Amino acid sequence: MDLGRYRELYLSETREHLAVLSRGLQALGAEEWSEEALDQAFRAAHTIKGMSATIGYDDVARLAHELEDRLDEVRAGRRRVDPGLVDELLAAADALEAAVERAVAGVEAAEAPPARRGRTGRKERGRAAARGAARAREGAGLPGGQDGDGSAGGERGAHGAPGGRDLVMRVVIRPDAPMAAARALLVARNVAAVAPVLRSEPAEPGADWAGGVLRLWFPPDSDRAALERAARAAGEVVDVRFEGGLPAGEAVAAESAPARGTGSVGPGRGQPLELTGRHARVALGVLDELSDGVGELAVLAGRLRELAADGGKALAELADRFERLIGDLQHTVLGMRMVPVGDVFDRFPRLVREAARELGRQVDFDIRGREIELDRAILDQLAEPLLHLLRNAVDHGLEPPEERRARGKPERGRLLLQAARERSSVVIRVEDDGRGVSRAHIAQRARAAGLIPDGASAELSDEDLLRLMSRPGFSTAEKVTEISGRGVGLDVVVNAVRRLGGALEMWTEEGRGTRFTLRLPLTLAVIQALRVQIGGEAYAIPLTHIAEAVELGADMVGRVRGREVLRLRGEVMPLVRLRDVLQAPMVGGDAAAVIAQVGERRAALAVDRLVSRDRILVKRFDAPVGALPLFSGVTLLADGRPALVLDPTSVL
Amino acid sequence: MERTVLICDDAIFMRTVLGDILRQAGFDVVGEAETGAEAVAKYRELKPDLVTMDIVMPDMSGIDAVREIIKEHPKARIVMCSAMGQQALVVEAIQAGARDFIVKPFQPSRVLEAVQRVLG
Repeated sequence: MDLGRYRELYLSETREHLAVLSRGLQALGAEEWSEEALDQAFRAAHTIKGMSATIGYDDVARLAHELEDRLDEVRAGRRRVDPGLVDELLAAADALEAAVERAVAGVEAAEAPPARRGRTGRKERGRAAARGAARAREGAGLPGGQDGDGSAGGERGAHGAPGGRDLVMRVVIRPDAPMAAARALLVARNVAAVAPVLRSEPAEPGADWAGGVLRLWFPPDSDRAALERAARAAGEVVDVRFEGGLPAGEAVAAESAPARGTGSVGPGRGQPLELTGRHARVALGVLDELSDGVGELAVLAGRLRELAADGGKALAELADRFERLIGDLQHTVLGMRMVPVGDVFDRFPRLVREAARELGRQVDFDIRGREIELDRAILDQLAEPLLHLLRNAVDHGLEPPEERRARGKPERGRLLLQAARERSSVVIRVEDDGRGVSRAHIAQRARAAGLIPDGASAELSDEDLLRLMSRPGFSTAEKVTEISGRGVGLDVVVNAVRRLGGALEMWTEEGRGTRFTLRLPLTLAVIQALRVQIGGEAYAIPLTHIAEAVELGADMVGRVRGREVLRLRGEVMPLVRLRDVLQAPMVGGDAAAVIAQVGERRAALAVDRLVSRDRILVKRFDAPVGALPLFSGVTLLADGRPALVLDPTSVL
Repeated sequence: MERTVLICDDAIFMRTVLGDILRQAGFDVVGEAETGAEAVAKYRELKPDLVTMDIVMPDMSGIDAVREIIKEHPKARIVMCSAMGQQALVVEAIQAGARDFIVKPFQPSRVLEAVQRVLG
């Protein structure tokens, strides 16, 4: 088998199944676990086994097979689910994950028992071949998973049941479309005339819903083409895809097909929805090229529109259409980069459990907003920082049970990891109800390190605390434990988030808890930015951190304690003249200001003038040591000239 | 045959802007209304192919006008014209039977797209 061609495909798909497996096993640990969770875990193990045997990773196949056997015992009622078993199963899943990574890296463990290995390998190759055929049918428009047992028909009847065979329509509403929630309502109303909507996600998009992915569930045999037409007729719909379901006319054939397989659940049937759709997997590198290409096209289209402005109405209209068409294309391509944060979040519960067990904490760990989508490239970079914050929360935030009891708190600490969309950002929060950060303690250490003057008595704000705590090497732990790592502090988290064009905020209250908020752009590829002129040169400022832009009148500028401030509708905020920061020449004075905002902090950044609002393609660069930390990248303007991308958070 | 349009908005400026956009695209603007009540009366009289309806108008709101018109003519094609921040009202208008909406400031291409969608 040509491993090179398939390895990446194998790896990305296996990782998804590992995430499902992990999620299923986690669910088993809950007080009231469901058959559904058990089935999901079982199917995931089964599928990994089949794929691994097919590609020739026999060690992985063996481990998956053992895990599948144990899960089967639970299904058959021969093993009771207790915490000990769940821990064992989680450990087995860990070993499986490690084996997958090892196998892909080309170092299969050598000590596999030969007898077992042979058995798994032979049997599985046969089954995998059957599955290959199933996959091929799926590709031709037939649903996968008809090689399962005969129970598919019964499950199909249960519309709306998670993991059932409902047809799921994934509609992407242009994220910058005005009033996305009203648009979603139009989509829902239009499609309801074609087929009954069983449920939708979000169920009731509120006024703050910023557009993006809308999922609608229909009976399996609904008419896809008619549904797609109806959805698109609602306007501002840039992409429609279907997952699951049965194509019309195939339902009867599928039901009467003879049951194959071994009585175990076939892959495909009833799998979590994200795996049942017809997907083509694309390497991230290819996706990068594609989005870069489309991004450059968008920039060119902008240039065309500028030129067309002098060229008459017909040309202007053509340029307009051209630009919007490329905009749609761009959204589709960007949509391909988006993955649900759950792909990464679902690795955490196990790690949190382990950390809690090791440190003698009791934790209720809750994950929300799994379905929120984020650029793959960003999500991959977030795993480490988030893990760090979670470990920190267990180690330093949450108190041991006896201490909590003494303080009148429930013995089990609460730890929440939550993702949400806010405007053009994704916000991720890590929140605990532990002891909070001791201001006095931080102040004392900061004084000892000479970071704040001895005399300063003012209460440290949350921002001050975060700034102090995220200085390299500033660790508050009394003793370095294995869990929170050595010498790796918040600075790593802050840097990672900044590198991604985001910002980190902290809230803390002694005795009540700590919350970290990561604010991230949706995607790294193409962002909305304001083009400004400073000292006669063009710069771009990403809209993520811009609250508004205003004309700068002389009467708005004042001084407070020797520092320039801007008064805006009764609010006073620091005024930073970017021309001075950049040591650029004076060209016509500062006629406008951009109001930058991170959390509650706001500052006005004075510029020569505002030029336009563009979509830009940011090429990130690693600034040379000693360079101003003011720039986060470089972009090409519509006229082909390069411009630096300013990071307004660096000024705040 | 040219498609007929009734424009309902209490501001002359908005009626002019919309009217120009639609006329240039080949529509026949057969009437204008300044209030919700006038919109209902003009609809009965003109039976236009399309109505553009402002939300906030004196006398009777655009939403109530939509309700009235849809009650008598369930197939009426009405596009709401809304300002930013009126999403809740737009949602109400859609529930009342409006077919689509456009958001001020109007971009000609968006206006025409919405109109084509509704007529298509």
